[in-house]
Amino acid sequence: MSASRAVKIAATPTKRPEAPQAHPVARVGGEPVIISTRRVSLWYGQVIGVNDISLDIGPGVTGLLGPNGAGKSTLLKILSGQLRASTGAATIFGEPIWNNSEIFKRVGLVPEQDAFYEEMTGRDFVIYLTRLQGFSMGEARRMADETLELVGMAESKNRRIDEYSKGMRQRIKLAQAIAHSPDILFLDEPLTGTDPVGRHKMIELVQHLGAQGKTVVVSSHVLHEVEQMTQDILLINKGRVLADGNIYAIREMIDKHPHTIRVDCDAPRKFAAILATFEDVVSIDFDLEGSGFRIATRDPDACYLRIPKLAREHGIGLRGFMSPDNNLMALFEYLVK
Amino acid sequence: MMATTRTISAASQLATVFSTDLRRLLRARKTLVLLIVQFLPVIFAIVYIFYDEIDGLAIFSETVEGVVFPFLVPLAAVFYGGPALVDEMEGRTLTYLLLRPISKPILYLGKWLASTAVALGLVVLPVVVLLVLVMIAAGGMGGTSVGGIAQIIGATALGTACYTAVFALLGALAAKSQFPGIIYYVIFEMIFPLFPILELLSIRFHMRTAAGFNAAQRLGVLDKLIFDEPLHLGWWVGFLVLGGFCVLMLGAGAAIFSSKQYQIK
Repeated sequence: MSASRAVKIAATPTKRPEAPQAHPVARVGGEPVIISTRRVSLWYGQVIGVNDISLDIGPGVTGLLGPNGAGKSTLLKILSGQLRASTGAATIFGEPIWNNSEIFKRVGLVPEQDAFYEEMTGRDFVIYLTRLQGFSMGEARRMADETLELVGMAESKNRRIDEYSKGMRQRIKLAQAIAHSPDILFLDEPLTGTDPVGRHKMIELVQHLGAQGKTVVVSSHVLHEVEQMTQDILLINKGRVLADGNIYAIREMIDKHPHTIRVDCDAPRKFAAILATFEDVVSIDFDLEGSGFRIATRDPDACYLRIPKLAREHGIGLRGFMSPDNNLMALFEYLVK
Repeated sequence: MMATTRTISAASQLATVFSTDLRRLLRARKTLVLLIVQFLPVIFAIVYIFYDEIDGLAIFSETVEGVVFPFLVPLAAVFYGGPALVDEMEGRTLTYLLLRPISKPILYLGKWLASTAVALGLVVLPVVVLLVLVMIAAGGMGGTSVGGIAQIIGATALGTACYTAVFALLGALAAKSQFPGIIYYVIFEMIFPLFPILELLSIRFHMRTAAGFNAAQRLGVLDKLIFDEPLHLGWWVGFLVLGGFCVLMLGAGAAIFSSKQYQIK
């Protein structure tokens, strides 16, 4: 499939007044349109966060992809009703989002920030927020227990949140967002800091919710994370939608660039030597503090699969591996050329 | 999943926010610290009563007038009123609450009620303990009427509610809790009471009126230029003004919280 067929690159606005072009509307997801914006912009003082975005999102999983500072979180905050657009209109089910508390019966959000009532147990946290969705204490308890089971937190649900690992905290955030069975789910960088098991669980759940016909919008700056959840993406940079469509076309573009993965492990030199034997590996750079290294590869899919497998086989303690932001920057530079 | 029934009522959501916040505040470390601070004047008063043969009920009035009203009530209120919402903003948990089908004024009211209940408990409990101790030491009411004591406790309670409402409003307005509260306290409660007319803007003036104390605390020089004698209002006026002021501050705070956009980073 050629990139030009599958991905619509946003048109450069014309300067000819005699032939004005219709404002481009990005379209992702299935039918009908659930979330919609028209010419939405948001300024933070003199700085523009979101720049004249029009889009329609339907059911299924949609990836909101862009480097840090691209405007993903700002757009997600407008779509989820946390921020009011400076200009333009944003709607869910045809209803305005901002200050419309009725809408929130059908919306769930996994925020980017690692924020909790730390002294509460995970279960109490989910129960409290589910009760505010209008359920009785008995129902909220039952729904919280079912959801905590679903996200794999049944055994740890009665521990205080300040005792949880990062991955467990992410799962609690997900639980509070889906306990009331929302039709729309927003996830802002949901895989940040998760361990491989938590990551797998989260991806599975997102796919499952999308398959159920829910409208799920996931923001991430890591293409490979989004790719595991969905094929429908919105590429955003500098507050604008740069492209919308199928992820595979984007992959064809990014595969022409070496992809960097940061590996954090116990024995970086030993592990790097093992990984360096593979043909797709272009270069390896070690951290100054000696806690890990960066590996550049021409086959990121294979490399992502091989890292945990080899670490396990060679008894190397793997703390984490992730794609730094600059991969997407390279892609965006390529797209705007 | 089983079928569920969903009833979104303002009363049940208010009760949920209030009860959850109340539990969290009662377990908070700052509550224990503040409880110790609030009991310090009680300890000093007891030492005076037992070792200096001073009239216990006089000590009670002086402690309430000179320590509880000007310092301990605003202290408790600034610790709980402002942070009611600002802690949620700074802790970034406000996002969870704002994305629930709960109206913002209800959320604001629930959090203010919980904060006020804890602040009230911290202020009134030592006052009642002090009263009981001095009555035991004096062997009775010592000429003080039940109505007079009820006035003092009522003024303390309503004054605390007023202060928490003001600090909650400042928190909603500035998205910061302590600093605007301290500025307010210095201007309205320390400087304004020194001037005729302006003193009417101070909560403490009306607390003193409601409690039956001499309301004015001015230096006297300006009084001679403007009035022949300090302004005296009936105790019921004090209660009326405090009640009205509290409702006004609450309404303004809820309106600001409902319309303002908070950036949770």
